[in-house]
Amino acid sequence: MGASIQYFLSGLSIGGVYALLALGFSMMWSVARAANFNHGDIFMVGGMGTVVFLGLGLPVWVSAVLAILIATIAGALIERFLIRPFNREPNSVGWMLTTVAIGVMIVGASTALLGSAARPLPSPLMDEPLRIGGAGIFPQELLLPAVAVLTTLALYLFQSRTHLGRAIRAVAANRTAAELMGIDADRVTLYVFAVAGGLGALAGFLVAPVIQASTTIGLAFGLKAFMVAIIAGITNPAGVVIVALVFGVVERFIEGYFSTSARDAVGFSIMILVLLAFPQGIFARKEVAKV
Amino acid sequence: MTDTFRRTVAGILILLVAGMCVLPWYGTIFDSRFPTSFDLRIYTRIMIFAIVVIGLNILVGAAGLVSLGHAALYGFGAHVAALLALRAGVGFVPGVIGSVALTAAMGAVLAYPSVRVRGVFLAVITVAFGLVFVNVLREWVPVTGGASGLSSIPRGEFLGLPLTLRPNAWYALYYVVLFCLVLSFLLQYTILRSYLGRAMRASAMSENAARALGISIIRTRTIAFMISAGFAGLAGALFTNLALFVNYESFRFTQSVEFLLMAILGGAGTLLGPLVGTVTVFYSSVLLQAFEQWQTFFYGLMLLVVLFAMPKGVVGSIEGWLVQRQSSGRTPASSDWPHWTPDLEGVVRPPAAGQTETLRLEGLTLRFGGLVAVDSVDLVATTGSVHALIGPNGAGKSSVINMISGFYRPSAGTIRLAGHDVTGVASTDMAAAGVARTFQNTELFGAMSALENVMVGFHGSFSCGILAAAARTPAARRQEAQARAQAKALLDFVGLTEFADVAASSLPFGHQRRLEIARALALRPRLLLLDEPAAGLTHGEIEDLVRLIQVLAKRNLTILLVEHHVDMIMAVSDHVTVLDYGQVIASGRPGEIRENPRVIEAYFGHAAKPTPHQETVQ
Repeated sequence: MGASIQYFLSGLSIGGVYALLALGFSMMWSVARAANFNHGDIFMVGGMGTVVFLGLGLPVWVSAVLAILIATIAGALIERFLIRPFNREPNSVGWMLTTVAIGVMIVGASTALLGSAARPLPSPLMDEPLRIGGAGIFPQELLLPAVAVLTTLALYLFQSRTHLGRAIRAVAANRTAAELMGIDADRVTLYVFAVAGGLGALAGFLVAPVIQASTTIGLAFGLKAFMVAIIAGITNPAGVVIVALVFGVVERFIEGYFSTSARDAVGFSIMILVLLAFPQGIFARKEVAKV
Repeated sequence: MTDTFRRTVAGILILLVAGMCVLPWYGTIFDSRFPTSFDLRIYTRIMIFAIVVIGLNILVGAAGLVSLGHAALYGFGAHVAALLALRAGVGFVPGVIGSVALTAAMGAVLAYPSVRVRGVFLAVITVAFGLVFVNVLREWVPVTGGASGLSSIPRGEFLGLPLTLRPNAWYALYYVVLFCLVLSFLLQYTILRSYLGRAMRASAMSENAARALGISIIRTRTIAFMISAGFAGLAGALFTNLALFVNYESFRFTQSVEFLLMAILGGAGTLLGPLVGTVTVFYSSVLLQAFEQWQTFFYGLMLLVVLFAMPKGVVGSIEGWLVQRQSSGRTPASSDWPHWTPDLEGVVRPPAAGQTETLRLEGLTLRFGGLVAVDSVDLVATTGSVHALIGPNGAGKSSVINMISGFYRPSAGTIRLAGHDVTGVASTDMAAAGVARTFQNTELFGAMSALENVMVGFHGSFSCGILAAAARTPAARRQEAQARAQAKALLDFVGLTEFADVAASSLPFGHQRRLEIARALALRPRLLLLDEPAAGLTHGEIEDLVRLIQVLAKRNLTILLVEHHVDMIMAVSDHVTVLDYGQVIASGRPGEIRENPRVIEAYFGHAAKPTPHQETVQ
């Protein structure tokens, strides 16, 4: 029983990371029908950036804000220069190639400069574990799903209450119609990619004390988050967050009851099977293809 | 591309292959130390890479799909071959066949679930496969040997010769790999130029148009990925026989990116691109090794530079430049159309004996959430008639067309085609059943020539299998020749003979409409759905279009026409059905409809009176 609670709680923690990343994928996809394929490497920038700035003697909060700011700007730049010009036709694949290329460059350069060793990030929330029903969990770990859920709620509020939020929904629903109504769809898309980049880096910063930061961590995290978003139904943010949390828990149970090495193989196989059963995604809103 | 150009390229390739054949003996003939066995090893390796890239080229260049897991598929093939040789004592040839078959099957498992919704998802799944594959190799020690890999793999034999790179065995391995590369290159050529290759390109350019021509997108993409994986499996098996040792190090994500870079840099979709790309990237990577940890960074940078500076790759850019230089000649002109010739008699399906009605809609309804777009529509189109469907914008005309052609599933009601209930049948199957359509906003395969566009329409008429098409069996050649001849006849019918080799996207707008009709006729339809065919046409073109519709109707083709041009409707239709807010408000002969007060009200509102000179109703 204690073990199950332990798996559940630490699963929620890692699921919170997937949720924040998958939410980014969902936001980007909704407005652009494309996404930053290397979103996981932006996530890496959040953790590694904080560690590096901390090493330069800056306070932790300043380091984190700087790292997140860099990721936000990177998100915007990637949209403007690597996605927008390569996503002009309905079935373009160019944006995938350009973002994969920049991802490889980011990882290559940071590994060459910083080495591939994992770096710890100290946090006061990792000092004393909380005891819950025989399981021990650090407050830092619980912070992740909490932030993910709060972010989703904030996003919903933002999208229903503010002018920009409504513009984002309009662009997501029908880009051409939104443009005809005077919405600058390109600018809205740019903002969304910037916010997605910032959220990704936030996740990277928050999880670094738990799993340590390293330059090559992004690929697997980004990929799982993208797959989670796909099987959830990528245009439904709430669905995406739910599936991400569930997937995190499922992974921990696989680790617990089989082995750590079986985690990825079993996890991905489950996701492929779910995709077979729900080709549009579990929580997909039916998308009517315009003919 | 002219014949002279094609012959030049073929000549260069034959010389290249001849040179590659002689190469191992260069040292013996000229008493030189070159090539050493190390050199031959490098060349063999490059040829193996080229086979992977040829497979990737079919996927990226034709099917428009991206794989970021080809290194893993290559590794999968290598491990299958290694395990077959080590554990089951399987010989070289059956080992290679086993690798190809199992890797292709693995490809199907990956592709089928992911290409159903969006091609992009396939790329995600392939990355996942790559990560899981390396993970499994590292952890499943009893089978894969973990980090130490599988070593002491028995050396294969072919025709009694040990597969080595030594002169005493006649460089057997080198020649086997060279043979496989030549074979792969030829297969690439035949596949890309077969009906399957056209279907891949068509699906990548316009999913809707491909489906309307009876092409299953899922099937086509899954097959494309299987073929691509099969090439990777072949290369993997050859790699095992070259290295006699496999572990996960050679099959990581970076290697997948390198393969992709090779395909893109060479020129995706071109025949020579894979060769050029593989050699270029291979030798650059040798140079890049000097930069050690920065190597992967430079792969990314190279990919980015190519995508910005030369998106068509080296070969694609050169081809584009040559085409541009040639096309400075005289501009093609349209010939008189419609031009009916006896060759075209096979174009329209003869109706079954005693069949009097082709289409019957009963209570057809379509709801989008709370909105009723089409509301209990009844309609009968008698065989050989021209039935017009008119109504103000948003009346639901296109939705009716989309339901009949299987793009939308009706919420209620039935659709009968020649007496058979076809309600809810998918678009691909409706095309096979003889329902052809055009689109309100023309959906041509832009980068394909006019002739190829029409030939895609003959997709369903190919009864030869994929293997037969790739091997160019006599039956496959005959079907291909027949499709080409009929496509030419159809182009002639719409007056576009001189435009046969022009890319569809560079045709004038009116010509594009005509091409779309010719392509729809390639289905040998019994029912032709024309969605605003006259929109954007000149007066003269509309007159020609009217005659074309009459010619087809005279040959018993049933036509359902959505149009706004009142003159045209009056001239061609036998029957008119008027929709407003999704409901049928009038139905009858054109003359009756013109006088019908409800129709006038729907178009002009209460107060307006019909003006006798009104020509176009919007």
